[in-house]
Amino acid sequence: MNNSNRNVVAHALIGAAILVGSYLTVVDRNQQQLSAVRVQTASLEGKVREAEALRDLIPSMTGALDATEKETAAIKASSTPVADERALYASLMSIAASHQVRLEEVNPAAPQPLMLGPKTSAETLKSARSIEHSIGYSIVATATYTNAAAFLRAIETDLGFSIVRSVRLSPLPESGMIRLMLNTEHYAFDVVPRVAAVTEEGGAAR
Amino acid sequence: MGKNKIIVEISPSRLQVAVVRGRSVIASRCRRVNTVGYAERWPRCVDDFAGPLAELIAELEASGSTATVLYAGPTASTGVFSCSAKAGTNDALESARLALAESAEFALESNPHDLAAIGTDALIKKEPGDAPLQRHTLGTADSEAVISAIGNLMTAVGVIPESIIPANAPMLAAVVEQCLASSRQEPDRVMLALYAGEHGSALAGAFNGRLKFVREVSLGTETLSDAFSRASASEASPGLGVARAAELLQQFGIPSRDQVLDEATGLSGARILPLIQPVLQRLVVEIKQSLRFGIEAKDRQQPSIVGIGQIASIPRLLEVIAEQAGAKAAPLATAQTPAAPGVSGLYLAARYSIGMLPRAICEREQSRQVRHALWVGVAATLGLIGLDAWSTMLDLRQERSTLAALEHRLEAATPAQTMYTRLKSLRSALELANAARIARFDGAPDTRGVMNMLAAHTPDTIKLSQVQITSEGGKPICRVTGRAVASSGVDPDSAVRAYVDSLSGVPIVEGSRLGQTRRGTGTSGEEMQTFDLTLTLVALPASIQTASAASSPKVGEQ
Repeated sequence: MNNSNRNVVAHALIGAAILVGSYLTVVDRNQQQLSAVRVQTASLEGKVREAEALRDLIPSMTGALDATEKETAAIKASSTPVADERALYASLMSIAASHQVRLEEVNPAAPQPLMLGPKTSAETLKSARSIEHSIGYSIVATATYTNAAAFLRAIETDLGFSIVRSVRLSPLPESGMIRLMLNTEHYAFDVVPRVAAVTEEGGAAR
Repeated sequence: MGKNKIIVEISPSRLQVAVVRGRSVIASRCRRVNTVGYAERWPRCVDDFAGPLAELIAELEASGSTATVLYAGPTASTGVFSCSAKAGTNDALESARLALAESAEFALESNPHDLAAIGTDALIKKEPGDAPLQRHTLGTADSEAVISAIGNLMTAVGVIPESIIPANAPMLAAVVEQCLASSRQEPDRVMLALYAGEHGSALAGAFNGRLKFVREVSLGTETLSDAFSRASASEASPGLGVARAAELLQQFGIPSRDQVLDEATGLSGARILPLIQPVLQRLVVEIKQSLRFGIEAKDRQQPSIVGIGQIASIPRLLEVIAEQAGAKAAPLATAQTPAAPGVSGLYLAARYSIGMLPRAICEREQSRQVRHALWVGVAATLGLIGLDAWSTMLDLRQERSTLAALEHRLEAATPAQTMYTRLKSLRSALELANAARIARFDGAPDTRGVMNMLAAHTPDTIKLSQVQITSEGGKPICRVTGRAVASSGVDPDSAVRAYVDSLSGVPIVEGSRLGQTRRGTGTSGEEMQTFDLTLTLVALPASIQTASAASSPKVGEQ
C-alpha cells in the first residue's frame, strides 16, 4: 500500500470515527431518551385512562366505600371481645350469672384446628390463619334446661364471633337440673387493608 | 493571486503564460526564446524554460495557480482516430486507444495518454456507395519522462500542473471541428481547414459532412518569419531579428514585389518573395497531395479552404495558399474570435477535455479527489446526522410535553384513584375476613336449635339420659341416649319409633339412625326400652351462624 492509499485509509477511518461519534453523541443519545419517554408516556396513558374512568365512578364508589366501612366496623366490633381475654372471661361469667347457670369449671382449651373444607382453598386457608385470633374454653356447668339453652344462645349472640363447638347434656337426678359439658370458641378477625398488594391488584384489575 | 488558472504555452521559439477566467484570458505575458537544439535535447531542454517562466509567473502574480501546459514536443504521439458512428462512445474510445498504442513508440499502459471524442460525421445527403458515418476521437500520448519533466518544471516555478497537452492536439481537433462545420454548410464542396501554428500546421478535409482526412504538416509561421529574417540579412548586417521578422509578417503578410517593409534595412517584397515562395510551395504541395489521396477525383472540383488561428490574421497568406492550391478561401463556419494567440486560444475554445499528468501527480490527484469526495461524503452525512438529531430533538420535546400533560391529568384524577385504591383494599380485607369466618363457622352445630327441638318434641314417655351435640367430619350431629316407658297402653317400642319419627320430621334434622335398643323393666316394674339415636343435622351456613354476631349485611357483598 503506497502513501496515497495509506493517507486515504487514514482519512476514511477519521471520517468514519467522526460520523460514528457524531451519531452516538447527537442522535443515538436523544433516540434513547425518546424511547424511554415514549415508554413512560405509554405507561402513563394507561394510568390516566384508568384514573379518568374512575373519576366518573366517584358517586358509586362513595356508596360502596360507606357500605364497606360499615361492614368493616361491624367485623371489628364483633372481634372486640377476643382482644381482651379478661374481659371475655368476665363477660362469660356475667352471661352465666344472668341465666342462672352455675359454672363449675372453666378451662382454657385450644380451638379446633382450621381445616380445609369443600369451599375453602388452601390459599384462603393460609390467609385466614394469618388474620384470625382465637380463644377456646372447656366449661362444665349446671343449670335448668331452659337456662342452659338461653346460656348457649347468649354465648353465640353476645360474645362476638363465638360458637359452641360441642355440648353434652346430662340430667342430674332429682334436682331438675342438667349438667352441661361444652366447648366454646371465640374468634377475632383482622380487617387490615394491605395497601401495596391491593394497589398492585387494582392497577392490574383494569 | 491565489488559485487562478493559467495556460502555459511552450514552443521552441516562444514561452507564453495566460491567466484565464472561464474561457477568457484576463492577462498574458509572452517571451520569445531561442532554445538551441530543442528537438535534440528534448525533454532535457525543458529546464531551460524555468527562469523565463518563473519571471512571467511572477509578473502575472500567478504563483500557486493551476496550470494547463500546451507544449510542442517531438516525442508526443497525437492523432485523430475514426471508427463507425454505430459504435458507442466507449467502443470508439477503446478503438482509438488501440490505434494510439500502435502509433506510439512506447507502451501506452505505462505512459501518460488521454482520449477525447471530438466529433461525428453528419449525414447531409445520402448517396450510393457512401462510406458509413464515422465517430472521431482525438488521442494523445507521451512518455512519462517528458510529462514528468514538464510537471517538475511547473512545480519548480510554483504552479500546480493540472493538465499537460501536446500543442498539436488542439490544432488537430480545431481543424476537424471547423472542417466538419464548414462541410455541413456546404456539403457539395470539399471543405479544407488549415491551422498554421508557429512550428507546425494541421490540415483537414471534409466532403458531404464526412471527414475525409486530417494530418499534420511540419511547417509553421515561424518558417515564414525565418524567411523574412534571412531576407533582411546581408554580409554587413545580421538583418532583422526573428522577433522583428515575426512582427513584419504579422503586419504585412505576403507582400507585393514592390512593397517596402522596413526602410532601415531596405527590406522589400522583391527580396522576401523568393525566400517565402518555397515555404508556401511546400504547403501547397501538402494540400494538393492530401486532396489527391484523401478525396475522390469526382468530388475534388474547386475546394474551399478556411484558415484558423494566426493564418487568418496574416494578410494575404490564406488567399495566396488557396490560389496556388486551386482552392477558394472561405470564411470560418463558426465565428470564432480567439481568446488568446497560439494554441492557447484553440484550447480555450475547445468543447472537449483532454490532458495528461505525470503518474506521481496523477496518483496524488486521484488520492486528493478521493479524500475530497470522502470528506464531502462525511460532511453530507454529518448534515443528515444533524437533520436526524434535530428531528429527534423535536420529537423528544413533543413527547416530553405530552408526558407533562399526562402527568397533569393524572394528578387531577388522583382523588378518584385514591378512593378506588382504598375501596379495593378494604374490600379485599373484608373478603379475606369473610373467608376466614366462613371457614370457622360453616357447618357448626346449631345447639340452640337442637335444644329447642328436643324440648318441643320429647314427650313425657321419653326420658333422655344424655344429649351430645357436636360435629363429626364437618357434619353436625346430635346423639341422644334415653328410654321409653310404657304408659296408657303405649308400647315402649312404639313410643321410641314415634319419637324418632317426630324428630326426623323437624326441618333441621337431615337424617336419623336408631342405634342399640334394649328392653327392660324399670324400678317400679314398668316396661321400658332404652335406645341410642343419632341425628344428622342440617349444616347451617356461617352467615346464619353469625347473623346475630355481625348483624350487618353479609360482609363482602353489596
